[in-house]
Amino acid sequence: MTALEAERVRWAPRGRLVVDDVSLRVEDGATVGLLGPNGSGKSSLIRILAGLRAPSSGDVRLDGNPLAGMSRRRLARRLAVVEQEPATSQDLRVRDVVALGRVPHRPAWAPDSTQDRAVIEEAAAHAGIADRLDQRFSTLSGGERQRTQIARALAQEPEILLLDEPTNHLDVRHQLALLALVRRMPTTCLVALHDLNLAAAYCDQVFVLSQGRVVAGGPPAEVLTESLISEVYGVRARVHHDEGVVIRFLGPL
Amino acid sequence: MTLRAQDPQPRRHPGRPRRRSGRPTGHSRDTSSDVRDASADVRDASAIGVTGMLLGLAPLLVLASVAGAITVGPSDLGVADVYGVVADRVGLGSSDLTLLQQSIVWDLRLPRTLLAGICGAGLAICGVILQSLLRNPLADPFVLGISSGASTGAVSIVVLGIGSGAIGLSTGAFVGALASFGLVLLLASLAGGTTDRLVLAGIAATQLFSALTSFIVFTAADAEQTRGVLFWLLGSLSSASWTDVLVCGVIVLGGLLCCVAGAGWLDAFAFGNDAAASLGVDVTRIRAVLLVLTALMTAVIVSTSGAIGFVGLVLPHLARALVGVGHRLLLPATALLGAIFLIWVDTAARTVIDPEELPVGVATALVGVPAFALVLMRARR
Repeated sequence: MTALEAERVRWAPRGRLVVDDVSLRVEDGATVGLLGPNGSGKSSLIRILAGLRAPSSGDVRLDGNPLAGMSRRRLARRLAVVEQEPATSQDLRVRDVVALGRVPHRPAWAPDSTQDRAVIEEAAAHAGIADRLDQRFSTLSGGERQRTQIARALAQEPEILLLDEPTNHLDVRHQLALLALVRRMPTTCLVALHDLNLAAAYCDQVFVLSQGRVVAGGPPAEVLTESLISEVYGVRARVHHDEGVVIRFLGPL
Repeated sequence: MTLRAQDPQPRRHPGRPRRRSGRPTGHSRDTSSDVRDASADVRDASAIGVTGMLLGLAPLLVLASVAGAITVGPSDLGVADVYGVVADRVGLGSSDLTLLQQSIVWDLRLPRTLLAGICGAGLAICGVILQSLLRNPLADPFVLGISSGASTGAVSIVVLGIGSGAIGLSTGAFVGALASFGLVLLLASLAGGTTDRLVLAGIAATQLFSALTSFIVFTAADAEQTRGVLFWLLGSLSSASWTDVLVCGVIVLGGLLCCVAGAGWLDAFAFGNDAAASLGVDVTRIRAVLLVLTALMTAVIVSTSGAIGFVGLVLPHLARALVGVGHRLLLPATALLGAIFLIWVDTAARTVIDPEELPVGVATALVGVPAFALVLMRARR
């Protein structure tokens, strides 16, 4: 069982409160959505949960062990993160990018082993970019870049995968395909999302952030109510429950 | 506006257990991916073949360059003569050259050629490290003002007479290099830390330390010192000694080994510091160690041969085009290319306007500026 939990996490860089007293638990095997308007602290919370930022107070625990006491390398073998639109100045091939996922698994001086290469191919196949491995990363479309980063994260062989708005700038077909991929993945996933309908369709659980606080958490059908949407996003919406949860937006409040 | 998510994969029933196949390695593999694997192996094998050949050939080319470059010059010497002198000195044979010719080979050209190779390798390695760590294709010790700072430090020692000897000079250069590098990183991070800010901060530091060097030279140096200092600021290997070869050789070789040992970590910086941290790299420590190592290598090189530009900027790009971006191959390849490049540029610098000598920094700049322009245009794309 691998569960990631935050307990009373607060983060206030230079006195500005960004994450305020957040407690949440991502259960083993679940696909969990992290929702909230722009600036509600989703990306910051993801960085804290990934151990990339130390919380000002509170604890993040992986299977009950605080991240603070874990070595970076050990953490990187258990938890992978895909940040928003990562960019590089180097002329990397897709294979080079996916191979980065093996960095925590081998000594820094060692070449990729046969097993490393097998994992890389496997991860690429799983993310649907196996035929792109020898292409330049810079020539890929937005959707393919996201898939490459997901393949890199899979090559880390993590138990938990954190994704920060992976559907940003993707057209609707690629959004659906990407979330279907996330959904199919065997790992526990925490996905920051903007689109409430996508969250409702693909997540087992959602947490809603507003001004750095978790204001609701649970199955999307229970959490995404008309009153919550108007309160958090400031829009009027109608929620239909006939075929799954479908949210119809009526306009700003 | 209505948004309807058409779920291409029917949503799992909440009560149904999820199919978990563990990790990606555990997934079943279809035949087409087996075919892909096989072709990938062939591809890898050929890639290793080409890069392996390059890396195997390059040391021989370096040796040939050293031997060849020594024979170039006013005295009529051949490769066999050079070999004879070296054999004589290490006690494995004897040389039939005159003592003057032996001295030209052993005391002048051999240390100078070796130092050129070592400096070329060191500067090129510094370029690779800076470009990777700072994620900036234009980073190199010269552009970022590290060489300038090292020059100021070294000139302070020479002109103001603080400390003495090679160790004093290197220490001054090292302090100057660290000071200017610290200033550049501070300025760049205060200004937002983006790629262009870093280059702008580097330009500012270069200007500042050049001005400081000029100030020291104009206020404190006599005419003799001024001429010596200026020639040396443009880069010159003419004063190469065996001590320089030893000091630079040890530092550059040590630096290269350290960097190759951490090649995977350098790879991990491709998408920035956070990405590297998420791949298990201790970013703060690795960055600090590698940046100080770069400053140290630059300082030792500048204190023996002056500020030689463009080697660190251009050669890493050339090496990437030849062996790819993986640092495990890129670092040694860049070092060997840098060595070969500077050996021949220095040989040209000391012979083209014979009997006068062109400062090697002038020669590398003449070659480097057009290459720099190409890198700039590539970076824009």
